[in-house]
Amino acid sequence: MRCLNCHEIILHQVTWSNLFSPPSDAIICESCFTQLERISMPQCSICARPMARGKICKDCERWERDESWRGILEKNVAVFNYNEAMKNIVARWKYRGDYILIEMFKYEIQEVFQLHFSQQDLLLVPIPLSQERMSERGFNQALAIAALIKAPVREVLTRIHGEKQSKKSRKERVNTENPFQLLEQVSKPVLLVDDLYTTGTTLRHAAKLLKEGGAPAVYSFTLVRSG
Amino acid sequence: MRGHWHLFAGAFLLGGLTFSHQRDTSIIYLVLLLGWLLYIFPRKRLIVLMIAAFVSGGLFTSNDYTNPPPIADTTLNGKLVSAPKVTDNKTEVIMKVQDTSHKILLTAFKEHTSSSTPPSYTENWKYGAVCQINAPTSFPPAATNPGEFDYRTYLLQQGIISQIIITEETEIDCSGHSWLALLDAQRNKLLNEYETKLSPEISPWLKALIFGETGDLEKSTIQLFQRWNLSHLLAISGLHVGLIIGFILYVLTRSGIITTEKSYWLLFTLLPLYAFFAGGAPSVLRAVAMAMLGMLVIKFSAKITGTDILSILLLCFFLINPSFLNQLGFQFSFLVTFSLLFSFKWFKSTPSKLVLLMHISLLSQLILLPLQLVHFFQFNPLSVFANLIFVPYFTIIVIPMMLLLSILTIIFPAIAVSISELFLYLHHFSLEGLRYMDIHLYYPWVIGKITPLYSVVYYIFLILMLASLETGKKRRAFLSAVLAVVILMLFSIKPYLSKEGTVSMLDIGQGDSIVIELPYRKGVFIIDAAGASHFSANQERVADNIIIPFLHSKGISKVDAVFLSHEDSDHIGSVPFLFDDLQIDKLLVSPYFQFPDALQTQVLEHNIPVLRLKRNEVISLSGQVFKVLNPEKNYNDANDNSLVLFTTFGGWSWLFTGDISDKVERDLMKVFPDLRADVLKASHHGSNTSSSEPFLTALKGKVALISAGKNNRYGHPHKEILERLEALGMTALRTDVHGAVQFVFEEAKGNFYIFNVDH
Repeated sequence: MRCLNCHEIILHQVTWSNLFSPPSDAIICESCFTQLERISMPQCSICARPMARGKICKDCERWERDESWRGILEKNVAVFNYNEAMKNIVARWKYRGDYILIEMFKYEIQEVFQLHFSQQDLLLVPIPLSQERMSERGFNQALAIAALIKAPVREVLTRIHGEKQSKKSRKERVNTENPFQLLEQVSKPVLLVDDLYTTGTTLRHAAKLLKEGGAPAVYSFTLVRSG
Repeated sequence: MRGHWHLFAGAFLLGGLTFSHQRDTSIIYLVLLLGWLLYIFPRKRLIVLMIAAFVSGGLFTSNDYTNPPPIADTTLNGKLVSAPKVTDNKTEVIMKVQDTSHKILLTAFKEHTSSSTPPSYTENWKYGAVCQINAPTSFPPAATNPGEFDYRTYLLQQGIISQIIITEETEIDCSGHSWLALLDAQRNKLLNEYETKLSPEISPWLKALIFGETGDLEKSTIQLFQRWNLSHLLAISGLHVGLIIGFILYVLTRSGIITTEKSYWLLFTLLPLYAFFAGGAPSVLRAVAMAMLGMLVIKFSAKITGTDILSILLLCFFLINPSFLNQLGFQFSFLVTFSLLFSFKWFKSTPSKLVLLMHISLLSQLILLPLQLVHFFQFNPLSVFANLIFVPYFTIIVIPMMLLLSILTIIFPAIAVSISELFLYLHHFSLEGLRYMDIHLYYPWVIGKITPLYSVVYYIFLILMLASLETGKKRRAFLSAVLAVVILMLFSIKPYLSKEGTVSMLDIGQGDSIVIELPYRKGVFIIDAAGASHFSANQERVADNIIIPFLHSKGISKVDAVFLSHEDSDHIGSVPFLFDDLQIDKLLVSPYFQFPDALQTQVLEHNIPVLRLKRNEVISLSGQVFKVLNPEKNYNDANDNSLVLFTTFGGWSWLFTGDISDKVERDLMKVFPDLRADVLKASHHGSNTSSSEPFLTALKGKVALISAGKNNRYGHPHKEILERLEALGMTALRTDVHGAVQFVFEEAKGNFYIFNVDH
């Protein structure tokens, strides 16, 4: 078995904790695995940004101070930090179409989802791509993540084509028009799924629409917390 | 398969353990296998492979060691398959019998006189020689007491089924040799060189640490290292081989004689040669094979893990020689190496080198603990600290120094001598430090001979602890560690909860030694502790090999009272050697008992209270009541002045008579006309000067215990006494025939058990 990421043969390291275990289904090698950085505690209770101290980060404080955005997004949960290794993997996955790479995060994604949301009956809503972007990329990265989670997925949002988020500053992002449209009403609490949480604008725009469309609460789940 | 060979090695080992000669413990290992298979249940292919490994492990190791086939021929042909081993008093070599797989140990004792050279005919005992022997084969001596080292099984485990003791030149004719004999001769020449050129204080260390020859080290030093769990430093293992490889590579590449590439391959070809020069012990073979495989893996950047290499190596060793499973050095070596490899992740999280060293030291001690307890019955908790000091000391200083000296002695002997003198200062100082620790800080925990069930449960908690440490679950790790200790404690308090008591008449050769353990271990008493025969070179033999191991194997380190019937050495010869390893609360003797000097010194040094008892005194020890029947007056004869004790165990009345003669027996009948005893410790080893017919008739006994040596020079027990006992319907239980005789009793019942069950 070769590592999904670096293509080297995976050397299974026997230690006390897996001494009697059957061969694991590891698809990445130990050294690639150790490069992935899980988000550590303590973190911002709203956006999951790792912080030295405090409860809520400055960014979220700003969101919550704004009358029109307060409480729109209950909580974001993220799995990994956006370190160099992660940047490379995400770039290969998202921009160069190495779709299978998402498999290497499967276990962690499921674990984190279990930890935070297993008690609730949630509807997974992936952040959509615009038609242009979709035809360019070939797959929706948010849907790919949502598909790994054992919960019902419904694509109730569509996106009007606009500039890439990654090309904009924070100010530009926050003040843009809502790029989403709601296709149908929802009555259940929603878990928005996306690959990145940077400023939280995209997710809050989507959350706002969903809340207006009947969702009692909106949470979000992202593979990475960047910024 | 890749990365998972340890699973098959594990299943293979379990198979070996399940089908080994100790069938009564098979169920434990079988349960372990089933539990394991359940754990990996959905993986059907793996399960099939593991069961196959389990079964082949069983097939490979299930040689029946208990009943080796006898060798009928009087003339045997065979080939010598080991280098002759010459020790102080004998020369030994292993011969493989032609056309069979049987091995025989040939032994030639040095002439009875203290001649320094072995018999001349052993000169032809060379590796690979073809021999014809015309001498009777015998079984090597087996253990006859619980806890005693069993030489016969030890040899059997190496595939050696019998022994031939050569006494005459005409009995053996050897000729020829193989190329290994030439190597062996070179090795001896080299060792001789060191012996003559270096001081006698330094050469034993060089021979032990580089050539695996520990024979010259002082026995007291070896025992000191054993007590502090440092023996692993004296046996060549991965540590030594690793240092030697590093040293040679460094010298070769730095000297510029050959290229790095060539020196690498040179070393690779030299390693097997070194394995031979280092004596070829299991730990040496393991370390050298591992090093060679490791070198190949590095050279070809092969993708294989350390655990896989070690597991494959383990399986190979078994296929070559299944008896390896039984050899202690092999078990120690593999167990420690595996555990170090498994700890890779845990070690990575250690903050400093010192902490890492502590972890390694602690881990090795913990992983070897059950093995240690099976063989030595005790554990020295502070040995971890001794290892912390002495492992680096040997790694950084002693072993490199010995390596340097081994080369310098050959090239520049003068420099070697002066360096070794300097080194000796340091070494003396270090060993003195250890001796000081031994005197002041040696607090062993005598746990006893741990059973497989307890060992298995201990290992489960130990592995849980290590797994928790690895994943950072500190609380769970602590809890598991506590439980592992609790298991050991449970094992050591078991006797305190048992309603069974025992009276054990030990087979110590010609003499008496009886150990009494009361139910719930309320008290432990000894009646007499015979010494080795006067002709024995090692007067501590009986104490060290029989009495102390017997007590320690039962977890006994404290004796409430020792009765000394009288002062003959076949009753008290071992007593002076008991004080170092046992806490003895008091000695009970007759008023006429005269302390021999050696004993007197010990009694004063250890400040042991002595109670003198005479007729009609009654003494209660931990609730056990002993009535003293003799002596009343001084008979002016040590034997007749023997303490005679009357007591009851499990509803049976017992009479311990020491060595009294029929004269005293008559006195006893006169004074105690109603004296009856179900069990009689027959006086004076069954001599015809005691156990008179009227006395035996009056006692109305059922069982007579006779403690006498096999083929002793006095002819004890005398035939007429045995006939007399039989005529009176008494059962004679004899140490010379039955080995140790044990009476296991509860409140009102008891049964006798003999150690040599084949009688």
